Amino acid sequence: MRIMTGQSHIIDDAGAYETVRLKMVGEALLVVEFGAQLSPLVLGAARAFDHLLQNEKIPGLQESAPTGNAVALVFDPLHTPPELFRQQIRALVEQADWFERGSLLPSACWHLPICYGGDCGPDLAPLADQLCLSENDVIAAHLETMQRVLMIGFAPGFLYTGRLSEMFNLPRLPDIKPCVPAGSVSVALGQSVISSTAHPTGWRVIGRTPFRNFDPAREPAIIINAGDEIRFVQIDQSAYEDLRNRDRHGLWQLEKGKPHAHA
Amino acid sequence: MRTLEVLSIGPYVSVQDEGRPGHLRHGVSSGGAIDPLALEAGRLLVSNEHECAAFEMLALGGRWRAGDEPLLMALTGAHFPAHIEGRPLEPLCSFWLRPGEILDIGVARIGNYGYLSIAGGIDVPLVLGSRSTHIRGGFGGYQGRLLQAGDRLSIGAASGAGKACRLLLQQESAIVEVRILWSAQAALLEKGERQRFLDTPFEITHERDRMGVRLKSNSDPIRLRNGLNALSGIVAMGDIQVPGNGQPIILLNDRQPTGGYPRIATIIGADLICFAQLPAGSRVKFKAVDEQVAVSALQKMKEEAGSMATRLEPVAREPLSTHQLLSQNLISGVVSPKR
Repeated sequence: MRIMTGQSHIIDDAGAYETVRLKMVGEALLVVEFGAQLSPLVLGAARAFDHLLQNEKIPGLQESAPTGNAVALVFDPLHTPPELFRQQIRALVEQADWFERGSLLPSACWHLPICYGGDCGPDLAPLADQLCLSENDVIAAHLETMQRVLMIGFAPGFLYTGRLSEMFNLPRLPDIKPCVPAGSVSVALGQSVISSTAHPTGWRVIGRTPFRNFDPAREPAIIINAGDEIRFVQIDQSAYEDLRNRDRHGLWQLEKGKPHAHA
Repeated sequence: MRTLEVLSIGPYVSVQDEGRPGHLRHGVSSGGAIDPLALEAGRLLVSNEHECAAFEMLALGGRWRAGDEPLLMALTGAHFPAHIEGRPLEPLCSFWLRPGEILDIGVARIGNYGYLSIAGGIDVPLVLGSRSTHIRGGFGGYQGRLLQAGDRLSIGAASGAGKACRLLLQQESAIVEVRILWSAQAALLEKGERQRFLDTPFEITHERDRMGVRLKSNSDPIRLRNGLNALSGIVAMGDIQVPGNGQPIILLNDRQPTGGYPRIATIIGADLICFAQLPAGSRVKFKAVDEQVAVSALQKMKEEAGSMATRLEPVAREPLSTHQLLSQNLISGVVSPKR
């Protein structure tokens, strides 16, 4: 696997780079980028490389995080100077074909309850109107897609999943809502986002899940990770309330499904 | 009981420690004191362990009353005028708050973020390895939120000698030139915009919190190509984000860990603390440096911080008179290494 730090060309329609790019951010963060798009191939490579970083002692490395098409590495430049750190990482990148390794990684599949529309999803009705569909058509389209967790970012436990069918390839709303509740499930850009905390958003909120992916009082604090699969299961408002009331921490067991074979 | 009661409080006071690194992969940015050097100064002044947390105050302090036990305290960081029952306090000098006495901390005169450290630390639980308040996430610190009037906090048992002391720090002149490293997204800047960014004086605005601070300039907004199509990526501390209106936002400790807006450069670690303490209305210019400069400056800052403990000296029990206080140089609020 070749590496370069400058421009690179893309070898396939999955958006994978022929050569992995290393980019510095400030003096203490190195980003290893595997592709230009959030394709399963690119996601897998980033996850596989991150997996290696977590299991190997790398001088200077403080933490790593997979972010969809890349892995971010926080390091101590006073312990390992940036040039030396990049050399180490280049050598590791060259060790294997991360795109191939990514396809071999196991991932969990989660069945996530969701209550669509109404107070839980105020943007569902206007979205259905805009698409000239019924609310049930939009719900069916959102339910039928197996969604893969592209990354956790933006806020604690905040999941980006995709890709959704073409009808959800929508721009963000012009006005940002200053605060939507924890558990909100929103769509835009062919993706869903699932929040664990109240947050501002410019995405369309179509439903709410009683599940909280992040809960600092729970062990582990995070249940669903990058690379996992999600299938939504529709519940009604009373089932939503029931699940929320059963345990404030959302400790009830999420149902696990059988993961798809990787692309 | 070692307690401290909040009688009245500024709008942005929270419990902070050295932060919560290691949870980026779960969407949790490291947080912690915006001015870790001031936190360290406070820690030394009350002989606390590293894991002890302090109160971080942005711009406005508050009024606190000690419970049944005397408490050894220190006020560091931005210069906040403060007094106990009319006795003014000397900055960078620890002091006792006796049972029932009221500590009154006013409006920051120099700098933004001040720290009130208490011997024994603020007794709140560790959450993901830290006592820092994650305000957006509603966890950590005191009940996961900013302090409110009426809160009564328990204070841990003091481990140190319990003697008041003074920290002799060299005075830092306010920086006007902030050093940056360009990032890969600087390639999105239109022709000539890199130089214009460096030539433009920016003013620090009042819009700030623990996530970031907004700058403004009188020149035309900085122009970017295709800025809004970038994939979300990791956001570093000190990143300079350029939103649609072209006026930069500098991202601080409680930033969102990932973001899609273009970030053209990053303020070097050695300049970020000083920068964060610059008050609204200050004007700065950015200067592009190379990685070597950034690392050497960081090294120097770390050495200065490491030698802080050698600059402690004991003080007499009695507080200074107003006359003595006025003869002192009070402009020592912003604790930072000399450049």
